[in-house]
Amino acid sequence: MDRLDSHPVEVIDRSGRVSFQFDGRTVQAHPGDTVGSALLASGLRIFSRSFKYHRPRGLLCVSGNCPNCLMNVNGVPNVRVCTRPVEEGDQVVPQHCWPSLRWDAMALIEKVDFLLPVGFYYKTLYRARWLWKLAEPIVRRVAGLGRVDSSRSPAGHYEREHLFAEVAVVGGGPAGLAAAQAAAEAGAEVVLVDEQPELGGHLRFERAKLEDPISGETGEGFELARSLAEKVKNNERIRVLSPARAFGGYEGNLIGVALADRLVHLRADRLIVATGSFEFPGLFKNNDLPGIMLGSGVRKLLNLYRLKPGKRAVVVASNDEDLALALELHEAGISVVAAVDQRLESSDSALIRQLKQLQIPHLPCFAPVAARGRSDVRALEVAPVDAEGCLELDKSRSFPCDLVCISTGRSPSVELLRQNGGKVRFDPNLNQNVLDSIPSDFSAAGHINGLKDPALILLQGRIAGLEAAESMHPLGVDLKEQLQKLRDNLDQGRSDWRETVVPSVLFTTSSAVKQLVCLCEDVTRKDIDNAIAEGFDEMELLKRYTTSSMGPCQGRMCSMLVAGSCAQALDRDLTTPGTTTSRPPVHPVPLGVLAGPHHYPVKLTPMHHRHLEAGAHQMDLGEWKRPHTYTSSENEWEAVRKRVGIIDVTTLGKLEVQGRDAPQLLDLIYTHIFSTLKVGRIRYGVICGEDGIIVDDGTVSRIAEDHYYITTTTGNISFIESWMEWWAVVYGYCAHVTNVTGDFAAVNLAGPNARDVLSKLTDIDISSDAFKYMRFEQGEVAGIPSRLLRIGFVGETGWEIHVPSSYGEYLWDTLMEAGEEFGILPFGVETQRILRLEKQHLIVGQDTDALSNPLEAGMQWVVKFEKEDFIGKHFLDLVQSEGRRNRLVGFVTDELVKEGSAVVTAQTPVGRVTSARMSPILNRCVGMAWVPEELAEDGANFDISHHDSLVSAQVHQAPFYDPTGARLRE
Amino acid sequence: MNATHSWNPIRRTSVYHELLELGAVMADSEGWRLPLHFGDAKQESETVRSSVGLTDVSANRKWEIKGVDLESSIRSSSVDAPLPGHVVSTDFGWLCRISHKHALLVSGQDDPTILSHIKNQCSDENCTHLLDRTDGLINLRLSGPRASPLLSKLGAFDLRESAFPDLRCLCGPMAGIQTFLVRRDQYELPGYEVLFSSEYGSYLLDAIAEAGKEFQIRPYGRDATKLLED
Repeated sequence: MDRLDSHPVEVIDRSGRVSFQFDGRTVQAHPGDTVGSALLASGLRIFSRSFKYHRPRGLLCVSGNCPNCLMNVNGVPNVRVCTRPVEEGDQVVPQHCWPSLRWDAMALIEKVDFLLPVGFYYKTLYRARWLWKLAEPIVRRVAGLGRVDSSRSPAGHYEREHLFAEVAVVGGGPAGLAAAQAAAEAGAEVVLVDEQPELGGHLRFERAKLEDPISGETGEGFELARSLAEKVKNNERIRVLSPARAFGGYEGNLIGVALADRLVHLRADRLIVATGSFEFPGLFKNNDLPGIMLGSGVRKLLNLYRLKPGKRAVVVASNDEDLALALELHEAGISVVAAVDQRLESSDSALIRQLKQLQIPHLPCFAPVAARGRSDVRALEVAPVDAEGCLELDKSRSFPCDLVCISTGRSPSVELLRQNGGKVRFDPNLNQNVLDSIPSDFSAAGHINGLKDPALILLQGRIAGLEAAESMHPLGVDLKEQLQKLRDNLDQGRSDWRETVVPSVLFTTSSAVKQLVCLCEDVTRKDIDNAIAEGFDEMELLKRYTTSSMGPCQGRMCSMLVAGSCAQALDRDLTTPGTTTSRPPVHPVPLGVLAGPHHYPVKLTPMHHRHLEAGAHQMDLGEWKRPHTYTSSENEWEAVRKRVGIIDVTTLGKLEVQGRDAPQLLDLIYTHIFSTLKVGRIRYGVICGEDGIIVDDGTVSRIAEDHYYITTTTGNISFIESWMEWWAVVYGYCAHVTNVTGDFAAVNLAGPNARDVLSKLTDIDISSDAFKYMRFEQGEVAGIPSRLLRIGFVGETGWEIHVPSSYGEYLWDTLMEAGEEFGILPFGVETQRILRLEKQHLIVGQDTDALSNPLEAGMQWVVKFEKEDFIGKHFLDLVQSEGRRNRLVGFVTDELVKEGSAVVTAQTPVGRVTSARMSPILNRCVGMAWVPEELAEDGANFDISHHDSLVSAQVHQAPFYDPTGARLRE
Repeated sequence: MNATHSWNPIRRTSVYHELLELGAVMADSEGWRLPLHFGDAKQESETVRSSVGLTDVSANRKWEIKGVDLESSIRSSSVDAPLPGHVVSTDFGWLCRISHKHALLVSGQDDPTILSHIKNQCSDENCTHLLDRTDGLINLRLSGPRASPLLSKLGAFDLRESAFPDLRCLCGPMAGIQTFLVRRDQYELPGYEVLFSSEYGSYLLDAIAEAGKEFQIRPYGRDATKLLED
């Protein structure tokens, strides 16, 4: 397609060349072209196939609003090529068609559209259920949008950014630019968001002479747009995000903004919405044929890209401003065969006289009835409209053409305002939705308010900018006076400041012919009528039943057409149907942009690199990385039981509790008593919720009268910290709780030779008489200030050694070196699980669940009912008085059973296995299980379901290893 | 234990290995093994001046002060108690008042004068307590003109000059983990101290490095710090 003569309004650089691949062929373009304009220039008419019927679709809005130009660009599906700047080497592929856009075999579906009425999927394919399994893949293949290429590599790199501004302006048209400039002049920090690659909005392709009412600057519209854009870009107080789509308004003045590769959370003290308005199509037979375009889209192609989208055009408009497109087309050498004027009153304006002079037929009180053509428009049939708004079909006329420009319906882009509480209503005088109320902290300027005069739009933008800034930066005298003057000027123009349109939905037509109401979802006028006949006669119901307005345009192209069709079907006026709820996202946002960068927190212990060097197999425990095993659990078990082993237990939650009321706080939190615990002693404790259910367990060491050092389970530390702080506040205790998990590296040195190893490194008397079981000491180990806890989770003589975490690696190295002569081995979580099971030490969360209380878990010895109160006491009192129903017991079996297996008696599941491992010392499987109370006797037998058979198990109440605890105390 | 054995314990911060991977040349200083430089101290300092640099200052001593009488505890020293969200910076280091009852004291000295004042005030009677958090909190410092945009990629912080000027502090999540963020400008450049639980050291360092790629972030060591101070 030839380009029009060069003109300063154009944005293409004719001296440059860009080439890209489209569907296997090379297409030439100019820098500044979009993929869409370049393809149109190459002669392409059909840009896509529709969602359901595979109808051919061509460029329509050229603004990134409609679904007609979705293509796959460089592996990314559903790219709106009408706004995507072309880049050298782009790979562009049409989507949702087979074998080609021109000849799409799936278009045959339309021949059987009687089988696919509105809501057919609700009515069919559910009976029999197997039918859906057959139908689903076919429906998914035939219908829908582009496909995500999951093999694409790289999948994309996405960023996230949090921006704060005093004033945020959404929309880079004349109103937005004027607002941003004014707010910045008044001292505000401004962020301007615009969805187009270049600032200027509709002024970018405006060639009429204009005067900027603020600067007095005159020139053609596009010149003023460039001048304004330049000022904004050069203003240090303004940050421009472009091309960027403000896709959602959220509470707290938060706007979600999507750029190509990043999501911006934009928060502003004041927000100016200058998002303009958009045209929507007319409603007539075959209203979606390629060649039928919105007037604003045609003007963009003519001016920005200097393209002639057709040779013979019909212009359909409903006011002089839009009708003037006929003159532009004529000037571009396009034959205008008719100017269809939908206004119901005839007019005799200068423009109409000009049309007549140019011998362009002007058809007042006419409206389109049907478009003719198969793969693109070949003629437009129009008919007069009578006084009642009925089309007089018997008087229709047909105009051969290959371009139909529709400029009859317009809606303000109010989604962001509505999502923040703004309201709209249909104004029957203007025949369009208008803003009824604006949320606080927000203002609206420009076309969004229905303004048509660029000078008024600039005025309103500047006023909005100054007013927004004024709330934070008191205006100087000059600006204050200017603001008042601007307000006066705007008021003077107020009498006729909004444009009236006459959308075709106002006319009564038959729904027997195919009129597309929703282009995204292929919903026809007939579908709407049928849905209403079935009782879905509210906008929200219609939306859900017909899926209209649920496609890529999110209602921009169809919501008024649906409302109009609804109103006609119900014989009501257009103020009745209302609108559907506006929800984010307003525009499609790539999931990668929403997901953002990968931030999955990982915790590492100070000895992590030593574990890797030792060949540890790592496992994830919550956010922690922990060694599962280093060599084999058998080797490691042997080291601990027969020599000495070392395990990194840094992951244990650790708390410091300080304050004079710390003892009372712990007595309240734990079921045990800690106010009586002597300094230097350790006591095991269980924490219950108010319902008596076990929440956590661990050791409590008393460092001083008012100072405790507590360990918790690995995963529960944050909760326990908050839990303790909460109760400290509730009771007004002087007790400060600090999570010191990261402060201390900790190891458990355990085994018959543990004392031999430790004694090489410390002066502390660690003999069994001096340092007894469940005692706590502070001193130096290998020159490091250390906390030593004589405890034994794995059932051997041992110490937990807690040191400042910066010494963790040093401590590990030193212990390994000192233990070398005793055959020390590091052991992992898996070995620890075997060792503790042999001692029947439970793990909260593994052996307990949301129904486990300490009495039934066999820990009645930690519940001190003699205390006046503790959390969960009331509930545990009930359990005590009513008796236990279940018990956590140890068991043995001859073969290894799976954790989670059912405990079975009389072929009925009555409990479950919580832990099970093969015990090297017994050479049998040992484990723990919840069983009914009557089975909890030592020696009682029960079965465990295992691989479709039953394994016989025997209750074993005492620890399997060292039942008297002698080794712990050695 | 062999009484004649003299131990030489070395302290490493929780990002020690990550800094080594970034090419750190380490040196021992007061018991800590810390980065001296990453190959070219001059270039490191220039990056800080022109864009953004990151250094590990976790070896600084840190104390957390909690209590109802925090106001008088701090005021009794030579330093006026800052308002919540504010920081005082003096020759001992800096003190950030996180809330009415919560403060963080950070110092390059083992026992700064202010600490003894505060210690004297800490007691059960006025329910004010002090805890050494040197090992628990890792302290990374971001310096340079691009430090703010980098941080805005990691957390919902309002870092505008008007909202978060020099010597302010806040508590908030960064890349999904809880942090203390302190604005402390140095060398006439915007600067931020980021303090967080040390087990996340490797994770957050990676997250900062990833977010900082577009700003050409570089780690810098003690040599570059000296150049910047000069």
